[in-house]
Order: sequence, then structure tokens, then C-alpha cells
Amino acid sequence: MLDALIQKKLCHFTLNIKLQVKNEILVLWGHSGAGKTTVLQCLAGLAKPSSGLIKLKDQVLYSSEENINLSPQIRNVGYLFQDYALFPHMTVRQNVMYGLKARRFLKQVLILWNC
Amino acid sequence: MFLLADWSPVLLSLRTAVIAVIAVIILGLPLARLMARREFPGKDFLESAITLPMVLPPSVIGYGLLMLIGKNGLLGQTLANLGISIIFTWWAAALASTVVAFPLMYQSAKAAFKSVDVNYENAARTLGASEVRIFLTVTLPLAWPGILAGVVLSFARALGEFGATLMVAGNIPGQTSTIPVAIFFAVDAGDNATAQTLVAIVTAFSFLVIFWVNRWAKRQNY
Repeated sequence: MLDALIQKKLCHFTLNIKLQVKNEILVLWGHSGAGKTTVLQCLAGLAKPSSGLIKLKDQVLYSSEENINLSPQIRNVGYLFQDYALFPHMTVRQNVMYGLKARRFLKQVLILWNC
Repeated sequence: MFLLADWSPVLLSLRTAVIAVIAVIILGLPLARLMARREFPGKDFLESAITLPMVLPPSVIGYGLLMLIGKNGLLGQTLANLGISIIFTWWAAALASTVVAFPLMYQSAKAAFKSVDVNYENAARTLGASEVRIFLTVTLPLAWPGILAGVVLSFARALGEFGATLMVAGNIPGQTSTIPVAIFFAVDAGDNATAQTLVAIVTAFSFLVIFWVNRWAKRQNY
């Protein structure tokens, strides 16, 4: 369950977004420059909204009121870039492994933390 | 000995240039990375100050370094209290080379970092990679050709440093007499044979380095 109620000031207008997504597919539809990418970036943590609240299940990802802004590293949000953003200097295997290594590392840190 | 009676200028030049390049890499890369991606107040001012040694006359840099590390200089006095004096040693030559080579490394590295698509870094972020890992495994490899160009340019510049080096390190044979300084004093003393050999060595060496880097860069294209 994803909840988002955010405002983001852009160059020429302010984007007001209210989302409530359950276990379903949501399609963002809009003309070029409408702010589709900005919304996705705000959800993934790659851009910071001007104000508002983003919640995934029970975890607050962003809250201007509580001054919370989780880094994209720990948001656990998958993101497919428009131009794929595959690492051009790595093999297919290295590209696939890149995220897995980070997960494994994070898991080990959490295990150590709980000890 | 073969070709030259005294090879110390060659060894000294290599030693000062290598130390200068290492210093320039350690100082230049993080600063270039910061300036390529961040905006902060006073950035333009800092940018101009960093690039200044590239356009200043070497004698001005030499004078500035004398003020800094000389007997009564800011850093010189502090070091003197610790019993260290670097003025008129090869460390001063390395320092002079570092200062003049720094802008070249900085400019190349900054352009290289800027040319890396920010989406690659963002992709790594969403995959959970730490900022340090992103820098080492994504940004640095993708910016590598530009950074290598900076290393080579700053090495060549450090190897050829003359004016500021002469002012802060002088011409002590075997201790501070690097190739450019040795050439100047060989010609001054009418020793054309030594001057010509040193000129040939430094020209051939510089040519080979640039030739190799160009060949290497041609093969590395993403």
C-alpha cells in the first residue's frame, strides 16, 4: 500500500500529487513536461518534494512535517530508468549482481546490528 | 656514465613529478567531484581561486610559495618549530610542481565527472549502493579516460616546472636540480652537450607518454 500526498515546486508550476495505490498497477499518463518523471523520482527518493508525505505500508519514506527523507538506498523502491541506465562499463552479469551485492551487504549489517 | 655524466636531474624530476601527481590526485579528485555535482554559495569564487595557478606567471607562484614556506613564512615557521625545513629541498620542488599541476588535474577531472550521466549514479542509488561504492564502481570507471588525461597532463606539467621550482628549491646539484633547472644552468655555463641530452630525454619521454595515452584512450570507448 503506497500513500503519497506531495507538492513539488517546478520551474513554471507546482505539482500537486495525491496517490493511493494498493496491490495494483498504476499508470501515470501525461504530456511531456507534466511531471511524470518527477513524481517517480520523488517516490524513489531521487528528488525531494517541496512538502507532503510519502508512506509505503507502515513506513514513512518522506515527511516534511516530521523532517524525514529516507535515502533511495534504503527505500527498497525498484526503478527502471527511461533509458535503462545499464552500467555500460560492466558485463551483463555484473549489472545483474550490482543490486544483489548491496542487498547482501545490507543484510549482513542488519544481522550484525541485531547481534 | 652512458650519455650523461650526472643522471641525478632525471631521477629528481621523476621523483618530484610522481610525488606531485599523487598529491594532485588525492586533492584534486574529491574537490572536482564536489564542484561537478554540488551548488553552494561562493562556488564561483572558489573556482577562480583554484584555476588561478594555471594563468599566473611562475615567478608569482614562486614568490607566493616563498611567503608560505620560507623561514618567516606562515607554514615555514610552523615547520621550523617542528625542526623541519623544506625550502631549498626537493620537497619544495615537489610542492611547486603540485601547485602548478593542480588546476590541470582539477579541470580534467571536473569535466570527466560532469560527463557521467547522473542517471547511472541514481540507478546505483536505487539498487542500494552506498555513496562511496557508487563513486568507486560507477562514477570513477566512467570518468576514467578524462581523469587519466588529467593525470598525464599534470604529470607533464609537473615534470616541466621551472620558474617556481627555481625560486623555492634553487639549483643544488643532486638535490634540487631537476631537468628544466639543469638545462637552464647547463646552457648558462656553456655546457651544450649536457643541455642537448637532457632536452632529448625530456622530449622523448613526454612524447612517449602522450602517445601511449592517446593510443590507450582510443581503445577505451564506451
